[in-house]
Amino acid sequence: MQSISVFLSRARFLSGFCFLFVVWCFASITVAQTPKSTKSKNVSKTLVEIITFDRLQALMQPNPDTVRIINFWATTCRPCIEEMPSFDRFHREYSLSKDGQKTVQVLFVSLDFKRDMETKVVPFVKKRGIQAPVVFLGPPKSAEIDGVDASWSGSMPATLIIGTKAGQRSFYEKKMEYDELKDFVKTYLFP
Amino acid sequence: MKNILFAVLLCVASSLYAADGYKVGDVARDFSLKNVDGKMVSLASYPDAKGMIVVFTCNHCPYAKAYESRVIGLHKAFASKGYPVVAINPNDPVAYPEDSFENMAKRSKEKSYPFAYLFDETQEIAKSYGATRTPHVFLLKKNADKYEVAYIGAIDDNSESADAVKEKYVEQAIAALVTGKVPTVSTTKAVGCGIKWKK
Repeated sequence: MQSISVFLSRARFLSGFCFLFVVWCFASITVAQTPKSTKSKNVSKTLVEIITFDRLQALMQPNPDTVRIINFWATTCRPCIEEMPSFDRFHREYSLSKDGQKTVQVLFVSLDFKRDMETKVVPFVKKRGIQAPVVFLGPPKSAEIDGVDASWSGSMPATLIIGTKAGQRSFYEKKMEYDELKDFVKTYLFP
Repeated sequence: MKNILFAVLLCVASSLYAADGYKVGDVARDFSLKNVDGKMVSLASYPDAKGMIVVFTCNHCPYAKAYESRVIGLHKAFASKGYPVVAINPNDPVAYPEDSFENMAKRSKEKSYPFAYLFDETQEIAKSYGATRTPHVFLLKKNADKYEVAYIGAIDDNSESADAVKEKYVEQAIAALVTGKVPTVSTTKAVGCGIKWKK
């Protein structure tokens, strides 16, 4: 009787071990595969993330610590490309908090055609070495243009500046220069 | 003194009005602009028209290019019903040589535009209408001798793909006008290329 129970407990132990081994095998296979796929996903994700309008609306909400500069552009829009270095410079100079100062976050939102996302937008961002985050929205619908700002007719470039307090909001449907941008943001950063 | 003040106020008011452009219901002004065939064209050149599909467009803009065949389609579908297309290029060719009068004529010939393609050289018409981008549509309805603005905005709801369109705004607006109704959707927005104003 005793030997049977010992056998059973051993069998249980062994089957338990087998089960664990199988789990470990599966886990190691999954782990071995995961880094590759997430790595390649992350690369394109950080370069140009595709976003929905709902996500953009969330990004347009005021944040107490950050002034947001949201620039709407397209690779086919010459004045947009001309003003991008000013925005990117702004990102380099103001995106890191110094001594608890409020920061500025620049976000480039591409309104290019969806078919041009991989073939034009991503190579453009790579080639120009743009450091501020770039997201891809694609051509917005009529109601979405109104959702960004009621005064926006739909031409590019267009820029939305959102201050740290509710209601602090400016919209510009034109090409902007660095100094001009600085003046606008200053009033929101150090009121 | 009062008169001067009044004159100044009037100037300010009128300039603000001009900057705003037309709204639905406003009376649209006529124009006389050079067509790609060299002849001058105005709204009065279409005595039998019941209305007009005025499209501010150009050669270089990818959004305008995406709509080119759809604009041709609009003219083919509605010119015979009294609503022809009149395309107007308001861009400064100094900024975009592709939008010069010569290149307009070339493009019109290549694509066999069935409608007039006019050059708004002084940009006065684009400013009066309040066009800001290409393409930008102003659908006009003839009322006695006047043209009233019936719809302002996009051609449809998908610039990228004609196959993915769900709302054909201009067609729906014309369908309403033809049956004597007011368009349900009278203003829409779409992304486009900002008009290149002269410096």
